[in-house]
Amino acid sequence: MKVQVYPPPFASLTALDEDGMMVLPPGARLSTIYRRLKIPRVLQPLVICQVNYQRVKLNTQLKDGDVISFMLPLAGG
Amino acid sequence: MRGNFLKGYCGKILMVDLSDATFCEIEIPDMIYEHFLSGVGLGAYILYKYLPQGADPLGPDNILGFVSGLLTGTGSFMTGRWLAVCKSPLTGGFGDANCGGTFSPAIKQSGYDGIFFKGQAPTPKMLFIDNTGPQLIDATDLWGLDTVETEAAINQKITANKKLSIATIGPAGEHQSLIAGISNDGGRMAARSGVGTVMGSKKLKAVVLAGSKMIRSQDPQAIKAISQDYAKKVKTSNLPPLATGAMLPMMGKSMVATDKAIPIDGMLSTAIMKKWGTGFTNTMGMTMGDTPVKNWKGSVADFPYRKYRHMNPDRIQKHETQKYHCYSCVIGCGGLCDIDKLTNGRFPHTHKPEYETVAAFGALLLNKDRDSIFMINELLNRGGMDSISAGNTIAFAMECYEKGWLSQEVTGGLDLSWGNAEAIITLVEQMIAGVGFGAILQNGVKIASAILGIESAPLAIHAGGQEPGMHDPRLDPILGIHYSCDPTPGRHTIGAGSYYTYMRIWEDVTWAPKVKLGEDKSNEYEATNQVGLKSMINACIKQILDGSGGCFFALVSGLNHFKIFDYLNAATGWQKTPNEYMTIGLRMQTLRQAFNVREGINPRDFKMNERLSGNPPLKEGPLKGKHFNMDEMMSVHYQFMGWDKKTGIPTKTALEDLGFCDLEMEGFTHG
Amino acid sequence: MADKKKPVIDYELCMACGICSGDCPLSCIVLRKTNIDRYQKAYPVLDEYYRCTGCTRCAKACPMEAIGMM
Repeated sequence: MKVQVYPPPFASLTALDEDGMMVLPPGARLSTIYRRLKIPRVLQPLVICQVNYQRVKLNTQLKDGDVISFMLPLAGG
Repeated sequence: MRGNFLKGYCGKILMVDLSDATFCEIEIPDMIYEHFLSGVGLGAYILYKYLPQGADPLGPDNILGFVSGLLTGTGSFMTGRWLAVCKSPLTGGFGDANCGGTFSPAIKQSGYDGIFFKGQAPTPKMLFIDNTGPQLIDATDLWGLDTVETEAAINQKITANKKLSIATIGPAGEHQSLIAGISNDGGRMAARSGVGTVMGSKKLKAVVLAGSKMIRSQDPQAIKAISQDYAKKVKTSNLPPLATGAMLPMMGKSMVATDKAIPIDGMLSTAIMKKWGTGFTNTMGMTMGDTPVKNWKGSVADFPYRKYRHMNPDRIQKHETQKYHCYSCVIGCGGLCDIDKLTNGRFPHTHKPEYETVAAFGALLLNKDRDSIFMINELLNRGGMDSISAGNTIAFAMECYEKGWLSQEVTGGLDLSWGNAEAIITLVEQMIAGVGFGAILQNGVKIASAILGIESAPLAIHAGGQEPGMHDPRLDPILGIHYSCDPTPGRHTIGAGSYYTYMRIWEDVTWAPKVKLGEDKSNEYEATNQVGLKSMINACIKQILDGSGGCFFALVSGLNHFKIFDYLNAATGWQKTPNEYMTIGLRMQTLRQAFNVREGINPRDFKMNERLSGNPPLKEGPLKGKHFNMDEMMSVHYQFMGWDKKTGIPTKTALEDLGFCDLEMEGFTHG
Repeated sequence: MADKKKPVIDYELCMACGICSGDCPLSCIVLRKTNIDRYQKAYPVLDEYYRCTGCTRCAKACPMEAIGMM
């Protein structure tokens, strides 16, 4: 399945195509995105992440077409 | 009676002749709205059609229009903006000023898409419209009052079934300072282009609206669905409590730390706007380099953290008692602030100072006195004067003073050292009243420079007479293109590389270049085809926005959220594609440019002061060394607009391709 | 008169956009009610209960369908 990601500035972009789309296995969770973007553990509590413009838990399962938006108020936004 | 009137627009305008106190309703055919939308497009159409060529901007032949938007009042969100339009006494070309508050729907509820004035009243007048129609009422007793006092007095004088929505000038417009604006809702300002000056020249003190006609659209259910979708996302976009203003300077640093484009989700900008309003960038702009310092010749080295920290928006928020929304806005970036104590009882409250005012009277003047900015904000709102122009003009004076060109005799004893808050406040009062040294500065920086002498010209920062907004083209060169190329020059809300990215217009307009994740941003300093194309797209979408009554902050929250094309189709019943709307935007912009050329403007004369293109470049700060070739950038923009690449004049082919209904587009030189 | 339905606002749905207040032909709804959210927005309040004619313009205009007539 494909999801749209708006990554924070310091993320690794290798898992994203030029449109910011990421291919994931079905049933993948939000935590997978964090891992693939290589967001450092220490910054995780400071990162604002929304799935379809709602705050959700890290273990939330994603579905095809979801929009995952990141903002790091300490950096970028 | 019209056949099908369910189109979002009213289908008529009111033309008021102030010289002989007569009214004329002019029906506008559907075709005009399909070619020019409403709002600024309708305004440009009326001005081009009815304003005699060569009209004196301060004479009876000038036309001043108050225009609402095509989407205003249709149930769409973020569409509560209106514009004042006229021939500008400041630039000599097309003039407009965009404003919010409650005035925009009131225009359409009076039964008109726009209310226009020609002639000059023999004595001060105000226009009052309720459901019985328009009337001109004597306003001699209001002449001399500030904008807040005027609204209070009018509310005493006139009672109506509906709450009055009032647009008024203050003393600055009355004695025709060229940088005077029009105020509504106690301090929301249509400030630019000298629109208040024209209102004052017509002896029109106020426009008072109390109509309640219904605004009808083709598919209200479809509009509602788009609105609910937008609102849902805005509602859940909130910053966590742990995000404070102290983080903003670091945020600014990181935004310019990389040359790679990382398109962010614009919807998150609404979270920032909900918390701070435009003030979020008071300190962030300092580390980014967006905020100009010391009359555009300084940097954060001249106004370091220990000074700019006083503008931390959290400190501004401390005075806010209540949020303020423009009509139909779900974000609410405005605010009302209690300033009774800090003005020693002089002013009870003020509209929260916008970033433009904080920067123009803060970093631009090396002034770290935050309290003074609240005072200046209210003085300018009440006086009816543009804060961007006023700040730039004072900055010019301060640089002249620094050079030793202004003795204290000339300044009337004022010590115009950088950062002298007391002197700045006094000078603002003088400019509004048109007295003392303020009399020299009250008409903006171009005229101040002409009075003080030719050597001062390089220090006078303006484009065609209009002073620039507080955003530095050395950070975002496309901003510089619009400062120099828009028919209303010096304007910061038209386009920028960053706005282009936030809009995500490539998702709708098939020929719009996509900003790819991770692509190199640094090529925007060259006059490439992509820069030309992006800047052209900026100009066109801005016209669509201003024809609709849309809010700039909705635009930069992303067109993927603020579905303006769908809104327009649902309101009107048209089934136009985004590409087709872009052609309308191009036509609107070309009309504004054609107006300028017809009025004798050489577009190249609107080139912004070279300081802003980094010639010479800054030696310190985040923008150290940045520069670009403004002439080449202007050329590539003109080219993509379909205008002559050398002169900026719309070409015969462009005019023929676009089609301008019944407007006479011959009669001026074009290639 | 007493049978006329009057607008009742659901503040869970309301976005404080001011459309109801701006569209009311008699300005019966004002924006004033604060302390509803963290932002101190001014939410609409039916200020003029007896002036209200029950015309339903506010309820029809509200994009969030947050106004019921009761």
